[in-house]
Amino acid sequence: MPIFRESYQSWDGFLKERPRTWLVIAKAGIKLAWSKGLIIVLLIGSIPFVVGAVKLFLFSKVQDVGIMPAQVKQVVEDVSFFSNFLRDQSFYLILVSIIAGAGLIVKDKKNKSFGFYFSKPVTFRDYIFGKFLCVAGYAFLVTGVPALILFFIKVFISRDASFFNTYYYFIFSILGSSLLSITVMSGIVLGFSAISNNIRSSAIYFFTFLLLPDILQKTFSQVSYMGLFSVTALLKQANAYLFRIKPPYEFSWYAMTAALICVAGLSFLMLKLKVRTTEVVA
Amino acid sequence: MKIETLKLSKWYGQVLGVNNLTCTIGPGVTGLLGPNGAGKTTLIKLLTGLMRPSQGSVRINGEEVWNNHRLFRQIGYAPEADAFWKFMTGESFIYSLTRMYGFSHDEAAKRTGRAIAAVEMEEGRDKKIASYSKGMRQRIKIAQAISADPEILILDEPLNGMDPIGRRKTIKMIRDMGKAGKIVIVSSHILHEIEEMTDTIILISHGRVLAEGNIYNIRELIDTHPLKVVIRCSNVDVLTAKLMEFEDVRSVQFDRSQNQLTVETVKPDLFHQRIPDIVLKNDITIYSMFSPDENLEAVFSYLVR
Repeated sequence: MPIFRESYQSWDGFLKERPRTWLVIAKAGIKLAWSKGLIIVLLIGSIPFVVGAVKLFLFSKVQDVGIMPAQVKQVVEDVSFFSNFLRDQSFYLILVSIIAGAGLIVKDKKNKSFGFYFSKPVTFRDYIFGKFLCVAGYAFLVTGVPALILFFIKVFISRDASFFNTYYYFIFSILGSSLLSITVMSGIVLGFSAISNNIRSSAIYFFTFLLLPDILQKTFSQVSYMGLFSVTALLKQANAYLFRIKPPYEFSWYAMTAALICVAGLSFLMLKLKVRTTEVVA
Repeated sequence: MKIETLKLSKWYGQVLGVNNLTCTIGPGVTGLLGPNGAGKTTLIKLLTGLMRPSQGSVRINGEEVWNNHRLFRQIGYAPEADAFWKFMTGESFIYSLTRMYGFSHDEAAKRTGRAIAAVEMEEGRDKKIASYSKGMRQRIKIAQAISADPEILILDEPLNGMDPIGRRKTIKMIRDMGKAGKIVIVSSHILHEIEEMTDTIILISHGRVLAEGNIYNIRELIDTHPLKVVIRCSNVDVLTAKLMEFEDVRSVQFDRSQNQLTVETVKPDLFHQRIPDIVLKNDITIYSMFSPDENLEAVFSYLVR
């Protein structure tokens, strides 16, 4: 049947002035990542959360009967409990970033899908934001979400409001620390996904970018500014600042901020150069 | 509605993709023809706003296309490449892309259903794209291009990999859309397919427009190129002798066993006027007469030579 007879031209509705195209892109990315067995990493990544929750629960029970082993007390009463939890979760954050993000742009590039996106009312910003949301969404499930739940467990099992009154800012610290880590990791993984030719090389680049400076930083630990070249060191430092605990490195917060801005700039540059509205034909 | 390109050029470094191209495309089906590397895909990308012109402009109703997202809502584009989210079903793929135009959930779902029906993909709508044949993928590509009911439809090699029935149905659909007043631009290297869809073509080679307009008018304008006419008749020798008397007849080749002669003339109209006289006076019976040059392929091969 001819299309024009199927009332194709009769719609009088309104188009959204600014369609949320990023949401469509994010949904597609989320489905794609899910199909790669991300659930396994999410389940394994939730083990430290379960262990942490059990520790908090046991602490409250042990406290009730007046027995308090020194080690348990140190683990759960220490203000760095949440900070340490988030720092330790960075391993899962890296894993999730690789599984969810390494193939996100490289697949579109390989399939020459940019034509599909950018011939629609989709901007560069929409595209990147959609992809970012996909990685960030999963990454938040292994960082911010469990950390916040642990915080509220701690609040609810405390017998009085003193913990919350003293450490209420932990909510913002947890959110800030996890969002910063997620933003940086997602940006890097998407950047490498954009410049790579396949998922494997994208994952290798990402891993090398994180691991190599980390090894150098540990090898030359006596040189204080070496941490500035390591993304994980920078995030650890930021985490410490946000939780108001002693920073693990000697470099200042403004040097750390400048280094993080450089990393973000590098990611943006990789994306801007490679995510083109069209493929360049040689 | 019309698309206008004005002195449009696109370079890839030292390589020239489109060269000073000026043309106007109005409603109806327009075939975009050209040999490999002629600049068809570059032109399509410029027309869809996917690529920024190095020089000149592409305008739709007077508005620049490049980076004009409002205009993108009026363009449906099916690229040549199979660029899909293969883990999705055909239906969810079309729905997702239709949502990008800004339609509500219900409207996008309705349009997805219509587009799937239009390309006759109802059976495969729930299957994953990864399991589709080449022909099915082509149809899904076309469906996503038409789902938003765009005023302008640009299809890059839409019939590649389709079976004969699918091909025929798609050609009919494209023609119907042209008749409905939409601007439909179809790029193909298979000339007879274009011929089945439209008489209006843009022929490009080396990034330049070689010819634009109705295929028959174009052929008439090529008066320096002799027109071939094949005649099957009862008395080949006599007709050959009579035709050789005229100056505009460049050559005559005959085959007695087939009762057939092939004439090359530089004045086709005059030639056709003379034939009835010659036939009647010499008592010759004409069995058939046609010109192999009046098809697209002949014009194409002549112009790009």
